[in-house]
Parts: sequence; C-alpha cells; structure tokens
Amino acid sequence: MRLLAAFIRHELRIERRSLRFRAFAVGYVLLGCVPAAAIHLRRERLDYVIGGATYASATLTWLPLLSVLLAALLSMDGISRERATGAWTTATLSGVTNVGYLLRRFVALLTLLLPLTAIPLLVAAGLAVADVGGAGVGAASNLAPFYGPWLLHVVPWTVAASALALGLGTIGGNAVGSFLLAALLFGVVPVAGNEALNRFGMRFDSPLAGLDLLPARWTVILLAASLKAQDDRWTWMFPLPETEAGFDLGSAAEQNLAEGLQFGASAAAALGLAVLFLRRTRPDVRPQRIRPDHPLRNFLVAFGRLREQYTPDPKPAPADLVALACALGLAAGAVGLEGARAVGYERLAERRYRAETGGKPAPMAVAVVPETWRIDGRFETSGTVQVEVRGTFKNGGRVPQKHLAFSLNPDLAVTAATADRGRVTVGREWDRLAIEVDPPIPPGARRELRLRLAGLPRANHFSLPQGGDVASFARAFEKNRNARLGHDRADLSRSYRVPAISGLRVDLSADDLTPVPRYTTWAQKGDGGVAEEVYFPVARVEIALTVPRDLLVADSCGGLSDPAGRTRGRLDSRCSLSLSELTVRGGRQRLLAQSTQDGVAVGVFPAHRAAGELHLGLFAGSSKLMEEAWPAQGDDGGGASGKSGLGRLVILEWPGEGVHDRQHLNLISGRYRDPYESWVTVIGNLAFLGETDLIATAPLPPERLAAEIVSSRLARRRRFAPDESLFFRQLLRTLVLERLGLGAQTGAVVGPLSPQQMASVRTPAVHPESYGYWNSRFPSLIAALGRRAGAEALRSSVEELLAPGPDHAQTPATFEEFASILKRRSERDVEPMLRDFFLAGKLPELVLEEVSFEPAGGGWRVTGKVHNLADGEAICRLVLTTELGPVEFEIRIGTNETTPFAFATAHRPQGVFLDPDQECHRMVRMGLPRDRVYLQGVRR
Amino acid sequence: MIELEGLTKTYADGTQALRGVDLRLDRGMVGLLGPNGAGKTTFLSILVLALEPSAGRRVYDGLDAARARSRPAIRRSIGYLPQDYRPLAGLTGREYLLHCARLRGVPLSRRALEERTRELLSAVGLAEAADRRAIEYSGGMQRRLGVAQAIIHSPRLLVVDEPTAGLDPEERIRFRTLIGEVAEQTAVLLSTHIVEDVEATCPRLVVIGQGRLLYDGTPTELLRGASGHLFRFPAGEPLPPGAVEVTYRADRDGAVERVVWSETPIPGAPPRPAGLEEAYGAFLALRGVAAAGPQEGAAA
Repeated sequence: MRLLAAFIRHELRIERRSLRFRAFAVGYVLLGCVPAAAIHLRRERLDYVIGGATYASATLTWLPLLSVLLAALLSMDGISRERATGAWTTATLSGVTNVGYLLRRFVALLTLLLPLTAIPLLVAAGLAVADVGGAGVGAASNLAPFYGPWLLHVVPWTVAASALALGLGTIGGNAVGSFLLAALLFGVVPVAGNEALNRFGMRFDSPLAGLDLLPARWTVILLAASLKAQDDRWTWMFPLPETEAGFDLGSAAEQNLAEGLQFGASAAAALGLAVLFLRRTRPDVRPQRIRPDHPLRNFLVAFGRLREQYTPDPKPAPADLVALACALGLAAGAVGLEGARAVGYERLAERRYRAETGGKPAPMAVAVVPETWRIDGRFETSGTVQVEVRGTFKNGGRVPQKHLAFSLNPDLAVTAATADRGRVTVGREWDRLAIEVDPPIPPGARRELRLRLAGLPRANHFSLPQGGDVASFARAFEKNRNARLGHDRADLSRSYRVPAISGLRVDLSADDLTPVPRYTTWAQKGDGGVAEEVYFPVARVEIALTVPRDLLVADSCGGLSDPAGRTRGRLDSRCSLSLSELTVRGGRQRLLAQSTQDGVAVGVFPAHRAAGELHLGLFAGSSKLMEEAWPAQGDDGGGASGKSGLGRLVILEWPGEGVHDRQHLNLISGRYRDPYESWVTVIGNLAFLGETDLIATAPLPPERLAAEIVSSRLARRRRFAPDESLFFRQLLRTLVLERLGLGAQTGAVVGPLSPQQMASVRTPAVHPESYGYWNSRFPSLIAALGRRAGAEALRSSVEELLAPGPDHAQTPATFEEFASILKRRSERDVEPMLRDFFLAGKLPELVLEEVSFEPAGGGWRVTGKVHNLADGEAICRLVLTTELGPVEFEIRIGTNETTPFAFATAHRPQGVFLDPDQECHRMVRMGLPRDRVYLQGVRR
Repeated sequence: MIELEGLTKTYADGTQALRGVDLRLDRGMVGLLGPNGAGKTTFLSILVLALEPSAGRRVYDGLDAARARSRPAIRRSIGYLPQDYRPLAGLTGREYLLHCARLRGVPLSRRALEERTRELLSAVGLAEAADRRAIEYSGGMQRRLGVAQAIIHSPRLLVVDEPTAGLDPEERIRFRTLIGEVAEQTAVLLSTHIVEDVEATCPRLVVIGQGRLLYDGTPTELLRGASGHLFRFPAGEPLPPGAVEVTYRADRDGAVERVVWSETPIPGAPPRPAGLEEAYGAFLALRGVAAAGPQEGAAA
C-alpha cells in the first residue's frame, strides 16, 4: 500500500505540474460544463421547468466521449513519460513486478482521472441546486440522475479507456506503435472476427459502437441552433427535458452491459499483455546475420530492431503470468458473455419469431366473454409477480366452446390451471396461452378458470434493425437470419430487457398480470407485425394485490396504494373494465396533498410537486368541462360521466414511453415527447399525464383531459365489433374534442398524405404509422361529416348507438349500424361519404380547370370545369363572387370525373371558389390548392 | 557476491557484443575500462538486467537471474547510474530521491527517509538545489543526482557508467570519496574513460575489449607490465620492429608526445615512466585494440 500511495502521490504531483495535463484538464472541464452552463444561463427563457435530471442528461450526452479521450491521452502520456525523458531504466529498477508496476500506474491514473470526470457533473448538480429557488421545484434535491449515469456511462468507459491506453501505450512503445495497434484492434480484428463469426450466424458490433457519438453530435447541433435562435423564448430543442422518474441502476447496467463488453475485453487484454512488454529487460532474439552487401540490408536491420522491440520481455515473473492469465481470462469471459447474450437473445427471438409466423393458436370465439375476473397475489421490487387469477367465462353463442386463447407475458409461467368443472389443458407459445377446457362450455353456460402465475415480467428489446422495408420484428429477424454477409447481421447481444417492476417503477400491463382474452387472429399483417387485438369485452374485475410499500401504485380500476396513507402496501379495487385495459402502474410518485373538488388523486414525482400543485386547477376545470363535452344521458357504465365528474380517477405523472430503455441516454429522440402527441391517456379510472406537460410553464388546457375521460367512459357503454372498436373509440374522442372547440377547423386535409393516412374504418390501432390518420385526417373527416349531416344529427346518432337497447347487450355496435342511424337522422345524403371515405378510405382532390370570364350581353358568363384528380365522390359548394354578392350551387364530382359548370350574372364577377370554407372532405395540396380562380387570373 | 559466467550477447542484426565474459564481483570498487565498442555498455546492461544475454549465467548473492522469481529481488539489490541518465521530469531533486526510495522499497519511516534524502543531497552537493526541478539542473548536477538515486536504497551492487563525465575536478573528488564510502559495503562497478578515476579509487581493474574480458587484476599489476617498456619516440618516424604505438598526443602549442611500447630499449628513445593510462594503452595496443582516451570522450 505504501508503494501504491507513492505511485499515486507521484502521479498527482507530476500531473499537477504538467502544463499539458493542466491544458487537458481545463479543456475537459470547460467542455464538460458547457451544456449545464448553457441551461443555467438561459433557464428563464424555457417553456418548462427543468430539474436536476435535465442538467445531468445534457451533461452526459458528451461526457463519456470526452472522458474516454481524456483518459486515453493522459494514460498514454503517463506510460510514455519516463521513456520519452530517458528516465525509464532507473524509474523501473525496483523490486516491483511488471504487473505490480502497471497496476499501480493504472490505479494512480484513475485516482487522478475519476475525480476529474465528476467535476462537470458536480458543476451541473450545483447549478441545478442553485436553480431550485427560481424554478420552484425540488428536482435537484435528488442527485441520483448525476451519480447513476456517471457510474454507468462515465466511470466504466474511463476506466476501460485508461487501461486500454496504458496497455497499448506499453505494448506499442511509442505513439505510432500504439496508434497502429489501436487501429488493428478496432479496425481489423472486429472485421476478421465478424467474418469468422458469420459462419455461426453471429456478429458483434464494433467495440467502439457503444461510445455513441450521436448524442454528443446532437447536443452540439441543438445547442448551436438554440443559441442562434432569435426568438424571445428559447427554442424547445435544447435542453430536452429529462424525466425525473429515475431508473433502476441494476436494470440500466444490464441494458448497457453489452455495449461495453468488447471495449472492456480489449482493455483487459491490452493491459494484461502489457505485462510482457514493459521493456525493463530487452529480450534476446535469434540473430539474423545480414551480408553487408545484401540488397535489403537496411530493411532487414530495421526488421531486426522491430523483432527485438516487439518480442515479449524475457522471464516474466510468476505474478506477471498470473496477471496475464487473469486478464486474458477476463477478456475471454467478457467476449464469452457477449456471445452468450447473443445466443440467448437469439433463442428468445427465435421463439418469438416461431410464434409470430406460426399464427397459432387460434383466437377465442367472440361469443365467449369474461364476466368476472379476480386477481389475487403480490409483486415485489425484485420484479417478481405471483398471482392467482380466477375468471368466469360465459358462452353467449349457440355452439359449445372448448378453446380459450389469451395473451400472456412470456416471462410469466402458468404454474397451475384448473376449472370448476372438467379438465384444463394449457399450451404456451411465446406470449400466447391456449387453454382447452373439457367438457366444452355449453351455450349460455359459464365456466370458472383458476390459474396460478409466477415470473418476472419484462419487455424484451431485440436489437434488430427495423424501419424502411423491415416493418416488423418477424421480418427483421428473418432478414437477420438469412443474411449472407456478416455486416448484414445484427448484434443480438445488444438486446436487453426492461423489467416491469423495479424499486423505482411499476409498469404492469394487463398481460404482465393476467391472461388477456384474445379474439383476433395472431396472423401477420400485410405490412408486417402481428395484428393487434381489437375486441375488448368488459368484465367485472377485482384486484387484490400486495405491492411494494414504498411505491405509489394505482390500477386502472382506480385502486391506489399510497405509501404515505392508510392504503400502503395494498391494492384493492373493483370495477367494470375490459381486461386489456387492466394496468397497474406507479413508482416514486407522491400524492399531492391538495385534491380537486371531485377528490381526484394526483401523483407526481417528488421533484415536480410544485409544478403539480400549480396545475391542480386543470383537474377542476376538466371536471366542469365534462358536462359540456357530452351532456350525460344516463349511466355510462364506468361509474362516472359528465355528471359524476372525475370520480375515482387517479392521475399519475408519467414519463414518455421508452425512458427506461437503453436508448434513453443514448438517443436524443427518446428523451422528449413529440409535442403533437396527446399528453393525457386515460385507461379506465387511471389517467397518465405527460411529464413534459406537467412541467410546462403555460397553464394546461383542461379540454384534452376532459375529452379523454369522457370518450373513455362513453366507450364503455356498449361493446363494439372487434374490427371496428378502435374506430369508435377514435370517433368518440374526436367528437368530444370537437364539442370542446378542439376539433379540426375544416373538413379538408392538407396534402400530400402518407400512405398510412389513407386508412379507413378498419385501421387497426394507434401506432406510429397510423398516428397521422387518427390525429389529422380523421378529425377533418369527422368535421366534414358533421357539416354534411349536421352536428346534432351526428351526436344523436352516437347516443342512439350507445343507448341501452333490447339487444345491445348481446350484439356489438358496428359501423353498418352507425351508418344506418346516421343516414336516418341526417339532414342530407351522407351515403357517399360513408361509403367512399370511411369504408374505402378514398380521398378526392378537386381542381378548377379552364375557367373563363366572358362578357355576354349586358352581363357576364363564367364557365369552367371541376376535375377530381383522385378518387372518392365529393359534394362541394361552388361559389361565384360578384360585385353585388355571391352566387353558388352544389356540385357533385365522382372519381376522376370532370364536371363542367356555368354561371350567368349581370354583375361583374370577381372569382370562382370551390368549397371556399373547406367544408367537404378533400385533399388540398400544400402550396398549390388550385381551387380558386380570380377574374384577373389564377392566384395561388 | 555476484558471479557472471560465460556472458555472451549477439544482437538481432548479428553483431556480437560479448563473447563469453566471466567475472566475480564482491564488496569493493572495480574499475571497468575498455575502448569504444568493446561491449562495456552491453555488459553493464546485462549486469543490471536491462538486457538479456544470449548465453551465460548471472548469480547475485545466490539469486540466479535465469529464474524469473529472483528478478524482483535482484533488481531491488542493484543501483544503477546509466550513461544517458535523466531524472524524472516535473520533480524537484528532493522529491525525485524520495520517489526513488519509495519505488525501491527503502524500509524507512517517512521522517527517516527525508533525513536520508537530505544527507545524500548534501553528500552530492545538491543540498541548496534540493527544491529546484531536477530537469532544470545542469549536466553535472544531474549526474550527481543520478549518483544519489543509485545509492539511496543501499544497493548490494552499484553500477555506475561514466559517473564523472561533466563534473568539475572538485566534484570528481567529492564523487570519489562518496563512492569509496559506498564501496566499503557494496560491490561497485565503475565504468569510465577517465583512467585517473580508476587509478584513484579502484583496487581492482577489469578491461573489456572486443567483447572479451582482457584483464582482471590490480592497476599495479597492469602498471608493472608496462614499466620499463615505454619510450618517447619522435613523431613522423617509422616504428622500429616489435614496437607498438601507445599514445600520440599533441598539445595546444603543437608539441607532440608519442609514446611507444617496446620489449627492448629503443636506441635514441628516452624511457618514459608508466602511468596507468599509458599502461592501459600499452595493454590494449599489444592486443591490437585501439584505446579510447579521455580526449575522445565518447561512449564505449
């Protein structure tokens, strides 16, 4: 230890006096502090309140890269310093072994480096603490966002980079040699290795791939763009607000492990091999006698010197050999672990692939619906779930049913399955559970199932490239499996799992807790991917769970386990709910002490308490708006509508999806929520309020919260046809938003549109590809329908559809039924709209052509044509404006049709306008509408 | 006791630097002389384990250098001042010596170590410069610091290569005294071109030439061999049969002194009293090896 202390003292003293070190260190600290300093200086121009996590995250975007560079430079300098100054022979003439010397140098360097790498984060933390007063949130009181990522992303990379530089610097003997070795290690070895691995269907990403340059590059770009911005408000691009949800260090370490394994292995191997190349004793190599007149004499002499230089040191000490074996073992272990991860995840992916492409088992008949559903059990912060599920099914059909199908997290095992009558046979395939009951459930009869489930539910993220023509997991896996060249393969070792439960977060979806009935076939869709479930029958659900006592946990029935209240550690609730809507979520959120007049429970992250209290008015406002959004006509089935206000609602602050994924820190795109995304999601009696919106400095508009709650509750009044349930849920949401003044302004949509926006009633689900349809084109379509049919007719048609009718309990609502009601109640013909736009997904594009204004007699004659460039029948107003007012009539144009028109007027015309108020559903091409012609000519 | 047997060294390009050197070293000073290219530096490098011999055996107080396990202990027992010695950059003389002491495992308390450092710095005449950066020392001061670092851990074997190069006469005397004290407890091998240093301090002399050990004895014996055989001989005249030229020196005034060795007296040539330098020169000349005098001042 005394010797180690001497090494450390020596290193600190030498570096403190070194101008080069001081320049490096100051440059490192300054660059490392730039993001935090920029945030601090301009924080008051942000549109949101940020906390410590944002400071930490912005700093960490480039700190790992900077740290690696610093570690490499200083370590290389450290090992070459004595050689360069000619002090090597005497400096190493001591009793220490080579490994003793190298390890002590290594530790001494780390003693210097690691505290240095903490400085930018300490500065960022200090600035965050300084901001607390002004910001009004206590975000910086929690330092976890600083030390967690530092331990995870900065320390390991710095240690490995230092070891690698020390190793390569020692082996290389000089800067050129070290550089060549590094090029060999990171250029040639991975390529050659991957060529060999390709025979086994494997490939590893570059050891440097984990040192992602993208965040660093993006931070620079965004910071520069933000600084250049002329607006008073600082652009939203920088800083991107980071979640205060916190993350589980263990899970995060597992997720990031594979990224550093190769680099770590390289570092261990380099440092291990360096014990043979310390060159305290020049080796004796076999002499090569070269004739004085040999034509290659100079080359051979140089080669001889290289041989001497790169021959391992003679007579390594036993300790050196042990260290070398350990280092190589460590390196082999790391590579082996990476290989094992790749193989393990490939097997998992194979299971999923087989299930997804097999299309089995068959789904359950829609006649079999769950009536009651009870979930008893517990889950713990270790991630384990143990539950007993008791569910009663009723066969409402006319034939006996013996086959039941469910979705269930593949990490959840069915340890026991029984029924109140007969036998039960269980079949599993990935996330699919098939249960055969014998005897079958007769028509009109019920059957109770009891299942015991246990496991550690996690979300699997396979590192397969997706996007472009590879739209689904199965296609990506297929492409990877069939790849012929190494570089076409994915490195599956980079896959990872996100546990549904940790000490900081609970994110249990329905199938993480219970089998969820599956009514839609598991077939692959045309564009890839498995078809989503679209039928959601409602059951009476009871939840009785023992949950972690120190976490705030809520379920979609409105149950709540408050660590600070009487309900600590237990979740007991019941409600009517579709099983797919069952969810249990929570984490470090804490309930706000104040409540709204409806007694809604609001849980926010501790750092956002003040922001949450600031927005409490939102909830009261939403409650009032619910009556306005959809006047209550009766029971909505959910226990609350406009009349009953927010009721048992639990609102949780919730970060964007994927914040607990590996990419979170590595990919900028994962760190912020799309500003156009809906900021509130309601699932039963549980609502999720976007974290980014909660910290907005602008008041939150209550309309969207009200709309989500009302449409969610309206949807529970009657079940919908499986294929069309999403359409109805979007219809209700859109109508409510429209009533609250947040609907589409016009019936027209601005094009060009992406293919995904050409979807129709049967667009299966909200996912990124159909996002544009449901949030852009669909509201326009409903606006156009409302204008055509009449707003009141449209609303009353929905009421009639949802009203409890004599056979409504038995038959699901369909689009056909809705269309017939609407046609009956509509003031005008809506048949073409329903047919072309809702069922066929058509979208007309109308243009005026050959418009001429000609004096005729004492007046004017205006003629022209309306041409439909696309498909779908459009019925629109055509208006001629004159000096004394407009003249108009309705024009009907079918697919690809051209309809001539003619106006005769005694007054001087001004222009012809096709659908001037954009009431009809059509595409208006961006920048080139071609739907108006003025007397003087065409104006764009 | 250090025993060296049959040390040979052939470099990668075929250059044969040592051709079987046997030597035993015990406490006391041993002077090492040899002309340029004789293999002295190779020999010293092999002795301090900085170079692996092609063949031969090295045993240090019973520790065989061929055994890897023995090497740390052997290194710990050696003090070395290389010819191209440089101190560590960034440290003062005092810090540097302290660091060397710790590196070599000097088992002294901090205070005792500081005291020893002070004494050593004083002994080499660097007490006043102790807190200056060693890299800023003059060449002579750096050599003196080099001597201090080589003996700070009281080595069993001290190898010094050209220790007095660049030292003024006063410093050389001080050095000789210091080394003489060290040699009471330690085997000291002093490699130098300055025969006078050897003459003044070394009771034993070793001469290496053409990779071989040519002489191992006392300086007196070497002198005795030359005594009565050296003559002043006019410059420009052909040497008589059997005579070999030992030295040829020209001073600033252009006066030339040419000394030759001859078994028998040379008519007309006055005898010259033999100093160790001339004896050494004659010894080499008789074996057909060119001597490297101090005027050449280059590395062997």
